[in-house]
Amino acid sequence: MRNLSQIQLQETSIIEDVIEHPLKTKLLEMGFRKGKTVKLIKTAPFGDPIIVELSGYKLIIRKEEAKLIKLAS
Amino acid sequence: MEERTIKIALIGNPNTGKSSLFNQLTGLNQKVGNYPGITVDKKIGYFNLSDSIKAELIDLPGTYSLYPRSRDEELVMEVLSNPLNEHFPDLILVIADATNLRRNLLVFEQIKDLGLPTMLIVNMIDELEKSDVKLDLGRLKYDFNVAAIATNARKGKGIKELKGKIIEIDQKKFVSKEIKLPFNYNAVWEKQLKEILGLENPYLAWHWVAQPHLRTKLTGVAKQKAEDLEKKFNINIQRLISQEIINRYNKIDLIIDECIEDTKQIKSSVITDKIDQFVLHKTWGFFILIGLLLVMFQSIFSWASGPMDLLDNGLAIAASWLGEVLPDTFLANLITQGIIPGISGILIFIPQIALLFLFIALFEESGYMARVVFLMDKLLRPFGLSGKSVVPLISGYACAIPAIMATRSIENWRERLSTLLVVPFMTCSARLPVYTILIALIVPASVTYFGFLSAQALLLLFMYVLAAATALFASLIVSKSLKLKEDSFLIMELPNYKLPRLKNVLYTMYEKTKSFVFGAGKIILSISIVIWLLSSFGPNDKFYNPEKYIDFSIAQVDETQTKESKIESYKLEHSFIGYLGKAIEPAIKPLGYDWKIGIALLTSFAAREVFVGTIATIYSIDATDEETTTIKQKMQNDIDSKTGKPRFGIATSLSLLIFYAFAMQCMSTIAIVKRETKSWAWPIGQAVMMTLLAYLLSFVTYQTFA
Ligand SMILES: Nc1nc2c(ncn2[C@@H]2O[C@H](COP(=O)(O)OP(=O)(O)OP(=O)(O)O)[C@@H](O)[C@H]2O)c(=O)[nH]1
Ligand SMILES: [Mg+2]
Repeated sequence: MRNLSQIQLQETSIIEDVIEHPLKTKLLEMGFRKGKTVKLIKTAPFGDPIIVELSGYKLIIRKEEAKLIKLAS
Repeated sequence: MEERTIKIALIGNPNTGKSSLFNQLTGLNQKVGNYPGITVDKKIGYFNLSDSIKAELIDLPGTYSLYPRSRDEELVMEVLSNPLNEHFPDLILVIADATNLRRNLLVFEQIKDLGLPTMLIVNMIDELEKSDVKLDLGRLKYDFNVAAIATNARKGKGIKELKGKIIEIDQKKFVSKEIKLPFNYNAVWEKQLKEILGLENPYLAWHWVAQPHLRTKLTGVAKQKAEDLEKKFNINIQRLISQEIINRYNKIDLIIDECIEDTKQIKSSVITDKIDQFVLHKTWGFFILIGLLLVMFQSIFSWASGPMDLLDNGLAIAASWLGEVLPDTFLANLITQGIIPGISGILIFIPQIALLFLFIALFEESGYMARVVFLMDKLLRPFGLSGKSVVPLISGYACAIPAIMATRSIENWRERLSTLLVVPFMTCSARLPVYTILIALIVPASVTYFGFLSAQALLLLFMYVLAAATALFASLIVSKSLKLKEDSFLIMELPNYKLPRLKNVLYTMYEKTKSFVFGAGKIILSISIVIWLLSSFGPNDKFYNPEKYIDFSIAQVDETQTKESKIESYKLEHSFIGYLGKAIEPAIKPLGYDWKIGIALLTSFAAREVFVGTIATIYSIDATDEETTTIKQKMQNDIDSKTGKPRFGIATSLSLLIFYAFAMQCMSTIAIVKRETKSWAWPIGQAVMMTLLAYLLSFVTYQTFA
């Protein structure tokens, strides 16, 4: 199963789940919820972090944290 | 009629306009900026709701939920968790960004369950109106059972109505009668939890055990009981919080789907995307960043030099005019030789400092700062910092105090500590006067490269780059030696660009410059008086009857030195301050400083900008010629009578430049580091290390160039 760190530039995908992790609550609060669409907008010059669009707003997130977000296949 | 005051708290997600609303209501000027995490401390203001009702308003840092991740977010629950807190509100205003209601309403739902009167403010309504999305506010109010109002805090729309509603509505009507925990739980556990904490509201009781920073405040007995209870019922706090968030979002989704008429998603701003194609470009992004910083430094030097020369000359003329019209009394001398030179030493730097503050305010107000976080994160991580360290580091170029405060939004303690320990290396505006004077002594103004880049500006730029490099290197050492294993993360909102509001930017610039001048002015005023007094008296006869001791027959080192100037110099050398300077001379001789510079060094340990004022005061006492001269000229003309060379030669000036770059000479910084780290060990260690480093490097510099 893919996670958010593997998504392609400008690709849109649906969030499946956030895996158990101390940051899970933070990610949920920021809006990474099951069923929401995410889109990869930009990757930083050295490949990390990334900018994703989520329900109309943009978030900067490191790939390390993006790995915790599972995408629907 | 009886007067009463109601306490109101502003709470909501970061960057939603809380401080803007605070300013609209109170008429104050709390700092506003387009970056999540501008407000990091609470701020109180007052306004009148009616003739008999006053309101105390508290502006708080933004937070995405009541479960804090960083120091600034903790402040919210510190105020709300305890009815005995002096700012515990009678009414909470939750500010939500109209274009992002779902996520903004999460904290609203949590607040509502604290059982306090709560009102909802749907702000940035202008942004929503710009898109096709229509909001049914009536329905929103009904479904969430709350009084709500739409506002535009930037323009001040809806503020009158808000004030009216606050008095009119009986807020108690909307307070939930029975509060249920937002996850599945065992009724026995809930009952015992309430008992242990002595609280009626289970959700509040839950926060006291679920939040580590509140839990540490419990009494020993309660803490033990809470732990036992947790074991007995096998409570997994994190899992329950996750459940809470999911449940709350489900409820919000159901309601919002009904209230927002156009299901089309709010489109991200087209302009923002266009700008970001360049600003966040893989290679151009860095060039733009470097270019912007270059423009900033170049303008500090070139744009500011005109007004600075005007001020410098004007003040010199004023001082000599006063010297002529005032009678030759003790008090008049104190004013013309002590206070005026000292104060003008700082006044002439107003243009530079104002420009610096202007640029930083523009970075923040436009939304560019958040982009720098994105660009720099990866580069900063090897040094034990995060992208979020960028804001404290860049604001450190203005002043270390707000910069250290700004570290509160960094979630990871190791990164926060590294950041706040190295921030004082950044070239703060107090160093600018010192650098400007010294650089002018080292490089002539006429030298330019490519016809426009002045050599002076380049040397200044080098000092700024050196500061950043030192900060990074120091941070590397700090974070390597701190054996703190804590996961670092970066999840941050990227705001859309906004046209900076001229009023906000100019006000920030004015306010910061004013407080710099007045803050520095007070210290300089008192130090100038002390120095003048110490130089007006001496411990022995050599001061009072110099003619008896000076051997005028010795060949003049310098032809221009007249008899009077020899006497003045001799007197200064044998005044109290002269002896003081001489006493420390052995320690600073290896750095290339004599006793005069020693005095300036000594006085600037409380605040570095005092250097210029002290030098100005000393030179005006020493000056015998009645001609109008600026501080710079006085320093240039000063000849060391022993060597016959200028006192501020290249080696000495460079060594001083290095000393001021590295030394910790700021009492306020020490105090603020103590407050933010809650220990004396950090600020003292920091000050000692920085000053040792300064001594060592200045020594090397002087010995190399001398
Ligand atoms: N278009 C628009 N912009 C607004 C409105 N209210 C505030 N702003 C802008 O939004 C940005 C954030 O405003 P602040 O008042 O600093 O927000 P805050 O909630 O105090 O932010 P933090 O202190 O970081 O939590 C600023 O650039 C404001 O000018 C509004 O109603 N409409
Ligand atoms: Mg604010």
